[in-house]
Amino acid sequence: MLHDRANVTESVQTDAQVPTRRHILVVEDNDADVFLLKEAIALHKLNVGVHVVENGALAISYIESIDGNPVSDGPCLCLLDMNLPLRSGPEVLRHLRRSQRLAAIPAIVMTSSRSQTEREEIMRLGASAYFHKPITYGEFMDIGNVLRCFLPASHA
Amino acid sequence: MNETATLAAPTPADTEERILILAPRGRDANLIAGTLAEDGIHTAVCPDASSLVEWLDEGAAAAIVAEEALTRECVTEITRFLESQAPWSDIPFVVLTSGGRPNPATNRRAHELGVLGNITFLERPVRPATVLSSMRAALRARLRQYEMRRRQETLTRVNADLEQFAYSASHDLQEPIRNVAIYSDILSMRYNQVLDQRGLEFLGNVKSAAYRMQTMVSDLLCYTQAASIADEPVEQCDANAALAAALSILSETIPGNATITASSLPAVRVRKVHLQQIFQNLIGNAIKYRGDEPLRVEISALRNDGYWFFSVQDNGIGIATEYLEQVFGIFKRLHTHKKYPGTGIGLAICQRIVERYRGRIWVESAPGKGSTFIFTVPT
Repeated sequence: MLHDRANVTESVQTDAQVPTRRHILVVEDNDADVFLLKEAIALHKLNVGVHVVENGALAISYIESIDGNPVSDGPCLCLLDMNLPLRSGPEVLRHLRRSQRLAAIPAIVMTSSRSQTEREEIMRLGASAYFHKPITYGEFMDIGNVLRCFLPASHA
Repeated sequence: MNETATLAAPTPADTEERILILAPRGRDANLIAGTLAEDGIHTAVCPDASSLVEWLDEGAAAAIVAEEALTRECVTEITRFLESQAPWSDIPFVVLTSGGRPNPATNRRAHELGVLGNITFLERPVRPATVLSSMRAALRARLRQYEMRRRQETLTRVNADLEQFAYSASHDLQEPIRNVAIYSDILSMRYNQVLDQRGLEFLGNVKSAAYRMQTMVSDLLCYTQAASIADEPVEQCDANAALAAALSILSETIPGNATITASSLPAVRVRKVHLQQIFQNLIGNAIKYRGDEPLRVEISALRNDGYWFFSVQDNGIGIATEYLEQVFGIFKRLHTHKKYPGTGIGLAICQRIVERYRGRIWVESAPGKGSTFIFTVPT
C-alpha cells in the first residue's frame, strides 16, 4: 500500500496522462461494454481504477508512454477487446508482450467471436485469459471474477 | 513485325502468345518462324531442348517440335510440364514427324507424348500453309484457355470476397446484437417500476428478437466457415467415429424411447469435424421433427459408382414434395418458430460441406412417411 502511494505521488508530477490510482488498462471502443465493465468492477468490489483507450493505436502509444517514463505508475492488468479501430487487438497484444515494463502483466482478451482459430491465435500471442462476451447481463458480470483471478492480491 | 518484336522487351502477353519452335537441325525452325511472322504470330526459336522446357515454364501459346529433337530427357521434361499444367491449361503441341525414314526411338517417344497432351502430328515435308493453319488453330485454342483462366480467377476472387464479407458481417454484427440483449436485461431489471405490463412485454420481445438474431448470426458464421475448406488433401476419416461423436453431442436431446441404428460405415476423405457436423444436423433434425411414433433413425452407407452414398432415414413427420429442394436453402424454414425452434441453416451447412467435397445431398420424403436424407462423397 505504501509503495502504491509513493507511485501515485510520482505519477501526479509527470506530464503523461497516467491515472493516479493503481489501474487496469481497458482497450475497448464500445462505450456500452465499457459501462458494463465498470459495473462488473463495482459489483465485485474490485479496488482498481480504469483507464480506457478507445482504439488500438491509442493503446500502443499508451504502452509506449509507460515504457518511456520509468517512474510512472503503469497498469496492473490489461483488458483488451479484439475488434478495434486503427490497430487490431492482436497487434496491441504483441506490443504489450514486447514492452519493457508491461510484458509481464496479465492480459485478458475479450471478444464476441467464438472462433476457435482466433482463440488459439490470441493465446499464442500471450493472452492470460480469454473472455467470450456473453449475451446476458448476468453472464457479462462474470468478467469481474476473471479480473479478480488476475489482479494482484491487494486489489482483488 | 518481327523486328519490333525483337526490339521491345517481351511483355507477359507476348510471352503467353508466343509459339515456341524447337527444330535444331536444318532450316525448319527459321522457315516456320518466317511463315508465322508474316501472319503476325510471335515465335521464339529454341536453341536446344532445355531452353524449350525453360521457356514453356515462362509461358507460351503452343510449341512446334521436330521429332528428332525429342531426346529421352526432352520427353521426360515435356511430360513433367504437361502433367503439371493448371486445370484450365491444355497447351497445344505440334510434332513434325520425319517423312521418309522415321527413327523408331524418337517416333515412339513422339507417340508417347501424344497420349499425354494436346498433340498434333504433321508429317514432313510440311507446306507453309499447313503449318500456318495448324498454328492459327493452336493459338486460337490457347486464347480460349486464357479466357477460361481469367474467368476462373475472377470467380475464385469473387467467391473469396463474398466469403470474407459474410464472415466479417456476421462477426461484426454480433457486437451490437449482444448490446441490445444486455441492455434490454438492464432495462427490465432497473426500470420495471417505470414500465407498465405492456412495456415489459415489448421489452421481452426486443430481447427475444435479439437472441434469435444472435443465433442466426452465429449460424451464418458457422455456414461461412463450413465453406472455407481449402482444397488441400484430406486424411481418411472413420465415419463410425464421426457418427459416435455426433451422437454423443446429441445425447441429451435423444428421447428415451428412440432407436438409433447404424450399419458399419466406411472411412472417407472428409474432415471429421465436417462429417460429424453433417450427422449432427441430420440426426438432430430427425429428433426435432419426430412424429407420434417412437423415433427410429437408421444410418447406413453403400458404395456405388465411385461414391459412398450415406443415408439417414427417420420415421418422422416428413416433408411435402414441393418443399424437398427448399429445405436446403439458407434460413429456410417450413414451420413457425414456436412449433420447431431453429434458424433453418442446418441443412444449408450440410449442403455446403458436401458440395465442397464434390458430393451431393438430397432428401426423399413424404408427409407422415418419414424422411431419408442421402449424401454422397467420392470414394
